[in-house]
Amino acid sequence: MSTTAGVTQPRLLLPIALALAVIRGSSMPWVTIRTFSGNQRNYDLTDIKGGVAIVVTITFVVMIGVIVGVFKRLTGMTIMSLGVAALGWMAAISGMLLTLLWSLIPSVNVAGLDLARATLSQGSGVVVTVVSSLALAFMVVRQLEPVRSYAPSTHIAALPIIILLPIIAIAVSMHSEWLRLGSDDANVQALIAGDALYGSGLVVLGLWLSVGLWIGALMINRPLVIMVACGLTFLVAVIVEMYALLVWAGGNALDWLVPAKLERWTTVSMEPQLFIVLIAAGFVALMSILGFVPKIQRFQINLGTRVKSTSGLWYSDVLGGVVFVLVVASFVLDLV
Amino acid sequence: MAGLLTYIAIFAMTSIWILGWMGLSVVIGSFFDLPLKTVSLVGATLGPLGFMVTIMLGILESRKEEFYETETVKAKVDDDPFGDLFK
Repeated sequence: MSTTAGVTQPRLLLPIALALAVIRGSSMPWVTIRTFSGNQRNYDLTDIKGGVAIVVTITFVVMIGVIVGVFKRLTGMTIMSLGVAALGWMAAISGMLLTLLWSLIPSVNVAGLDLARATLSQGSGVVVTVVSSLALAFMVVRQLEPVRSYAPSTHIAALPIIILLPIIAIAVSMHSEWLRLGSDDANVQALIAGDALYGSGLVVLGLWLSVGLWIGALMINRPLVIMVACGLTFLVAVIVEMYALLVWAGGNALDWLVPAKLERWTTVSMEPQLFIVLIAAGFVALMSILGFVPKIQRFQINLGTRVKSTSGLWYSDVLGGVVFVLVVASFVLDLV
Repeated sequence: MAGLLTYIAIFAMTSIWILGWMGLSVVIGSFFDLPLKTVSLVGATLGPLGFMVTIMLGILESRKEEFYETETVKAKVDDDPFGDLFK
């Protein structure tokens, strides 16, 4: 926050970095289809007709937001946030609709592929786009009354941070492979992602809602918000843990968890992501129960607004710089 | 042509989603007497999450108001200003 004539204004670097992260997310995989021949196909927004025009339009809106933000900080951030929110919701709706539909009705054709012979899941682009757009939206919303009166400016609540990190790890791992199945007779290999299991579409929805609620709890640090987030997170974490335990237990559970059955699977190998989910979901469930204890809700990390009270380096700028470098690095790596 | 139609369809779908959640948040926000500007932006940018945030904000704000609740005391009004003179 910078102070000009007694009025606190948010810094501009972090919102710009988050908006760039959202735009970068649109060219990362949104939908991943893994065929039983062991192939993997990724689709992002630019793959569909008119997709590039959508990205260009959003970028244009963000640029207008940046220019306005130089003169009128909050108005500019609001324009940026509305622009990237559109992109964030496009990612969320498309990904969730597809995975939700497929996790309930597996025999659908997508992009000419019979999904009874493949698994479908959300890609990493959805994670980047949704998390960045939600973070930017909360940055805008926290400047407005009455949210401002509930938003801490000199400290961060510890519980939301402690739960957010493993829950994002679960969300990311849900979209990656848990199991690798092979059949020597049919010469096929199936990669089973966490969100490719029956009914997991609804669990993924719950996971994302939990992520959003904990970002909200960071901004509106009140027991009511924390308790609602704890309740939902506990429910979701227990269901995810059950999924992971069933897959880990393997054996007969695979017969009804894996939607498409080709031949008898002869080799079953578990991927590290499955164990990440097992440990993280257990930890999150435990922390969600502890989150109902008022003493634990009050734990906080005191920061202030600047790295050193005498320096001109703001925490917001440091975080914005890190996000900016990561976005540029991923873009360069993609080009190389 | 297909690209243009997809462009319009996707933006229309996203606009309906954003405006829909904004509308729902405004309805809930007005129920709790929350500022319209805040509630509109919360609903538009945060979608279903904004709807939940609005409900929680409303509950928090209405709890705050409980401390300032006024009590109406029935005041004794003498309808006959000269009544005392004739007692």
